[in-house]
Amino acid sequence: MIVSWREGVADDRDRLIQHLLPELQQIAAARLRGEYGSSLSTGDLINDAVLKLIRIDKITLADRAHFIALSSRLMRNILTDHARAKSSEKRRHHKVELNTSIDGEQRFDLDSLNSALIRLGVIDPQLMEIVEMRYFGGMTITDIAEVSGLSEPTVKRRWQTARAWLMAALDEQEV
Amino acid sequence: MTDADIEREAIALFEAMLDIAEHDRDNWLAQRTSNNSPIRMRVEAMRRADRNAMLRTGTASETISEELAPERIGAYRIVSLIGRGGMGSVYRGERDVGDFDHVAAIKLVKPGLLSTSLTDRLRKERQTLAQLRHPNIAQLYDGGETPEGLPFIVMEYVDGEPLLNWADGNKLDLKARAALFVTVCDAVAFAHRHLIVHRDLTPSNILVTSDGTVKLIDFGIAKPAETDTVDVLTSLVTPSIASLSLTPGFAAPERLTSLRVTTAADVYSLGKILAALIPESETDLSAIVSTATATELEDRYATVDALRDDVSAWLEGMPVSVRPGGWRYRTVLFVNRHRLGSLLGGLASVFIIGALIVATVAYSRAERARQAEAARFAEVRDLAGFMIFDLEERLSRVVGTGEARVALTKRAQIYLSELAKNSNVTEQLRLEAARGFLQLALIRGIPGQPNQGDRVGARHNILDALKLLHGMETAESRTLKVRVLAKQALLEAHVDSDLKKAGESVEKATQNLEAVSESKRGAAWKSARSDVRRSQLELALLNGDADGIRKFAALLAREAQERSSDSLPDSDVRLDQALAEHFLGLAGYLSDNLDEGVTYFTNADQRFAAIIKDEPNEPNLLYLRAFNAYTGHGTAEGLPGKRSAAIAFLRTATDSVDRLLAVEPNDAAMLSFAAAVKQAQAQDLSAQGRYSQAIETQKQVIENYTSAYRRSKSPGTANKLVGAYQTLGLIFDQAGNKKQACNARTDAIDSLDVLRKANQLLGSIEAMEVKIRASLKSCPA
Repeated sequence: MIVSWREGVADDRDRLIQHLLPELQQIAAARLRGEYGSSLSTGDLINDAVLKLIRIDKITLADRAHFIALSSRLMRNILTDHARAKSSEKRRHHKVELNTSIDGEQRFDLDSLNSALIRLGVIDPQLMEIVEMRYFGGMTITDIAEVSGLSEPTVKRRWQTARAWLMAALDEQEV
Repeated sequence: MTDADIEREAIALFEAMLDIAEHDRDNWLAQRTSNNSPIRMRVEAMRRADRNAMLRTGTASETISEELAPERIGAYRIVSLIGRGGMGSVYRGERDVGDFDHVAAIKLVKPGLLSTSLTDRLRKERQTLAQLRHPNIAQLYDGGETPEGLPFIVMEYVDGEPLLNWADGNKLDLKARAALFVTVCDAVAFAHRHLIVHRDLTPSNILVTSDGTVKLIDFGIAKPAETDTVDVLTSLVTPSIASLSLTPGFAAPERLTSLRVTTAADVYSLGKILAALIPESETDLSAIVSTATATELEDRYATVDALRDDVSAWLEGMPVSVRPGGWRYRTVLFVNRHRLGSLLGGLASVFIIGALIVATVAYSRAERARQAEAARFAEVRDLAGFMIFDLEERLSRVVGTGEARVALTKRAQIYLSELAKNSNVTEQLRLEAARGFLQLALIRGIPGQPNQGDRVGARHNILDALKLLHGMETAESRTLKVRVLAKQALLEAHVDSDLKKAGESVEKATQNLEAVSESKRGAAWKSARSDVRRSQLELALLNGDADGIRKFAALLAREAQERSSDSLPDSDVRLDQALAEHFLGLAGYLSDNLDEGVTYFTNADQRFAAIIKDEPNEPNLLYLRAFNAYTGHGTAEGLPGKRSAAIAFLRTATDSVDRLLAVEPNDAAMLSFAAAVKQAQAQDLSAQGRYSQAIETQKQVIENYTSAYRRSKSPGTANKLVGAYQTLGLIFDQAGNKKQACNARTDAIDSLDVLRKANQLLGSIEAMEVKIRASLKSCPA
């Protein structure tokens, strides 16, 4: 389960973070510069970062999906931090948006997205995790299924639900 | 019902609704919720949002922001935009430098899209591709970087139509389509022979010019095929630029799930292209398509040539291989397997070596089972006690000085230090950095788990982590602080022998643990609490406090029990349970309740064995099992009724150590521990009256300690050498060889004197000195 990689193997995670962070920050920076609509999604780039890590540390390929899932969480943190820094820099609310090309051209204000995600996490932690993996990590349904231990149809259904919930929540915030 | 409950209900309802056909959903919902109920309103809001999302997705494709075309790229003047997509934009460029006119397609990669490493890779790939010359492959001429640093590629400009459009527009018949496909296959096979895989073959990447010439484009993003490269493991995980993009419908399924992309991926895409070219009604061609597009690599054509041959055979009216019963099907399978076999050659040899190790271990186990018989060796009880409980012995419980770990540590240290220096990092990053430092400390030199034996480095890392965490009071940071303090206590206890200070660190850890509010005590907190318990147990053991051990072991076990009911028991929880029994065994030994001790050691062994079954070759687990068995042997040895248990323990210890040495053959501390286990064996042999074997074994022990000492210069090992000589002396006593016994004891005293001079003599060895000197009195001068 997601829980086991997130908490059970804390040491592995720590080690990974050390390597992934710089790489992920680079990806995040590129994302935020506004290069969107390309076939190279955030997910592809994270995948590249993870592959590199696997090559360096000879981590088994079977863990790949888990690392990408972990990267998704890190990516969320990095992007949210960045969004906060941006808005405090400008001394006013400055929207930092992100596009992941998973669902076309939806662009969300990262700060609002993050607070909606926190709320979703309270209601249904699994939904939040799926959003993290899919939206911030650009993970495929197959990879998410592997990490979460859910079947692919279930992941698909849960993802659609999470997305609908989030967008409903974001719509409300805008009003 | 709280808001969260309403949300949960709404989510569950929405999810179930997705399985209901769209037009039935209103009714379905009406049956389950009343109008205007909060839950219903939430579900409706989600439905609206969901519909909007689909709308936006469907119309999103044309909203890519316009970017200005550059005036020049390299030696080319940009004339017009050909298209956008993939990694960037493609322009038509004309060369006006030099003495001839020249038109080319120039692909400009978008800014920020590629990391430095990817840009480097692109540069390398360009060189490979420039060498690829085939009439049906668009030639790559040149490449470089713009003054702004954007990579670009200059390719042959192809004025053609996508494959399917051309075939339809020219009303090609079936045979002409198949012939066209054979040409495509030839070009792809040519590239494969040059170890280049396209990876993104689609009908729109295959252009046909007005004179009917096929041109494959976008090979510009391929890389050498992985079949013939030497470094199999590395190449398997080196993705090319192309591997980062794929076209749904034409990409092989393994592209989505696996990193190993070979020529087989192109075979798959070609199969899909063939399917798009020909009508489904064509049985033989459809059989070819399904073989080319088989999900399993083993069922697919091994090579593009094999696919091409079948289509050619069909064109010539010959039978194709993939019809039921076709002879080539089997050959194809064989070739395919064979190819995979060579591809995985590197991996396979690793497995074979692994299997040999297993076989060897199994053999020596049987051998030792025959050797072991019942006997008691009371005289060396004090030696065993020293071996088991000596501080140095516990200190050197380290395995794993792999070079990879050393390199990793260095890199991590550089990165983390940079991070820590930066004063305006966010709290989250400080937390991550502190976590990194803790991990670094663990790798470098926290006793009680595999480490590099670098105590100084470990101490620095612990202090760095504490500095970063200073002043942070969130549950997450406190939890981390608990772990850091627990490990600091181990350093203070084992390295500085400062049990008081260690006790204070544990106390601080406990305070932080309790400062976390109940609602925030999640799995991470429980894991940190287990770290504290383990440190408390170590301290109690070092203090010789059997009651303390019993108290904390009971807590550790109970808390592990709680954690295991939270979720499926993970290895951490199971390890806690095993450790609790192990420490109870030690408490039994300390308080002279030997029978009780043996029972606990036996239980612990069963638990360790069960975890190892799931995680074989994990050095830390193997070590713990070996150490538990070793202490178990020392405890059972003195009990007449526990003879068979003692033998079993010794066997387990030897086997675990053998496996450990197979995993970590160069670890000085491991070699030293292996020698300790071997010594126990020598004592056993001697007790059975098998003196020559006992002497032989004990001489090996001395040799092992000597070579371990040469590597590590560890005073602990030198002290053990004294004990080893004394043991040899005792074995010679039993064998009735006075002269050799005297020689062994002289060696023991010589080593002891050296240690005393160096001020490195351990108390337990010093205590042995009286006995040794007493025995020496009867020796001739």
